[in-house]
Amino acid sequence: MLCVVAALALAACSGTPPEARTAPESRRLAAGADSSPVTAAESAREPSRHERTQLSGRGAVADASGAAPGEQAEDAASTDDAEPAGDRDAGPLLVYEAEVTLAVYNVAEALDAIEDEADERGGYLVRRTTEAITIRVPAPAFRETLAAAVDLGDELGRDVSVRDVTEEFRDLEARLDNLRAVRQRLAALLDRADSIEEALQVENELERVTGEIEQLEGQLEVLRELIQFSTIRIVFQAQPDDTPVEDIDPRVTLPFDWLDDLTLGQLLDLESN
Amino acid sequence: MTNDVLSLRFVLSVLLATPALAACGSAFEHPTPSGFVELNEDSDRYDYRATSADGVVLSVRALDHDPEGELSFWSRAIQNQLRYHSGYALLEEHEVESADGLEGVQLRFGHDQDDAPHQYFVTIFPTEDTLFLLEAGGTTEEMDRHSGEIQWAVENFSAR
Repeated sequence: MLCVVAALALAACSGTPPEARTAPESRRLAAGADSSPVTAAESAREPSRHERTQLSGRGAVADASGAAPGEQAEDAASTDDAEPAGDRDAGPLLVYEAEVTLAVYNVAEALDAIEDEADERGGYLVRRTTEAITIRVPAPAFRETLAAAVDLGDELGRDVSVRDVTEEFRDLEARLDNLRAVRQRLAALLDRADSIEEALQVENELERVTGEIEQLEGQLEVLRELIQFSTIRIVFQAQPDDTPVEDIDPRVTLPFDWLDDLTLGQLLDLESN
Repeated sequence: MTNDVLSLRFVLSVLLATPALAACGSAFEHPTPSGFVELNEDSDRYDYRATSADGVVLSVRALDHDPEGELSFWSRAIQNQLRYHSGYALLEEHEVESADGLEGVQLRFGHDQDDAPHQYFVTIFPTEDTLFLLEAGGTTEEMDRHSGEIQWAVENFSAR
């Protein structure tokens, strides 16, 4: 019995995917992984926390008609009719991130506008400060949200990155499958334990494996959300000094001389009065 | 009465009279926050100026309120001046209140200067006779660091 527990422990530590086993064994393990068997593929179809929020709270999710960053990302990230992230037969799983620097005259209005853009597209606000905002939008709406954001001001810089997490995702799924199979076999061993000592040893191992499963499920969930929701960060800057003043709407000039004295340069110049 | 006692009385009377005399020269009270030093300068522009060691500067201007305008007028005039004439970006606009209950507006602007992002706050407190302008400026990093002291100075300002 103890040898079997040790062998299972070793198996749980290895990342050997269940596909490496014989097909019948793999099917058997997946079918009875625990009292409520959930395969990795089924697990991947469960809505994420944000999906659940949107489904229950807002009703609408991703705008699937929007320009997607890529076909695979659209498949992986759409939260309604497309393949969910984590499907074993789907294409590459991609994480999209963008950071844009914009010059605008009224930052508060621009911040509100970007928050509205995220809401309208089924996204959500991650962080907002006085000069920057980070939003997450469904991957299919990534490009159009970015375009809408850029329209709000003068674009000073843009950094868009795409990260292929397919291998990382598949590896996590495989390790999860493997651990669930081990947990199921440990549960069977527990039923057949002949002594308290044996039962305690199996229980300890069961606890460890369960902990690892929960950890991997958490990692998989985070990765799934990163795939489904693209991150866009907009940083606002004041109009640069080299913007010709005459190019800015001069409006009206009021007859109050002190208005001309209202400058940061004047205030900070401690050597002159 | 000994000479020592007379000297002590003289010193005490001078100590008591000095702040009162100093206060007579200005139409406001602007306590200097911790970490700042008031500059004793003879300025045409500023009625009060203080600086932190890191270069965040606070100031007060007491202008004749003539012609008299509403708070919204001056707020708009300053926004237009700084945004359209000087190229500043309006970051935020807040209602504020002075220690003696004056209603005012604080305009927070962003501006790049010497290749570094800066912030410039202008707070307006209009009274019947005087238009008070409280300014605060410095690099964004230092302004963030001193934000508590800056707000403290605004909230403890009073016109007399």
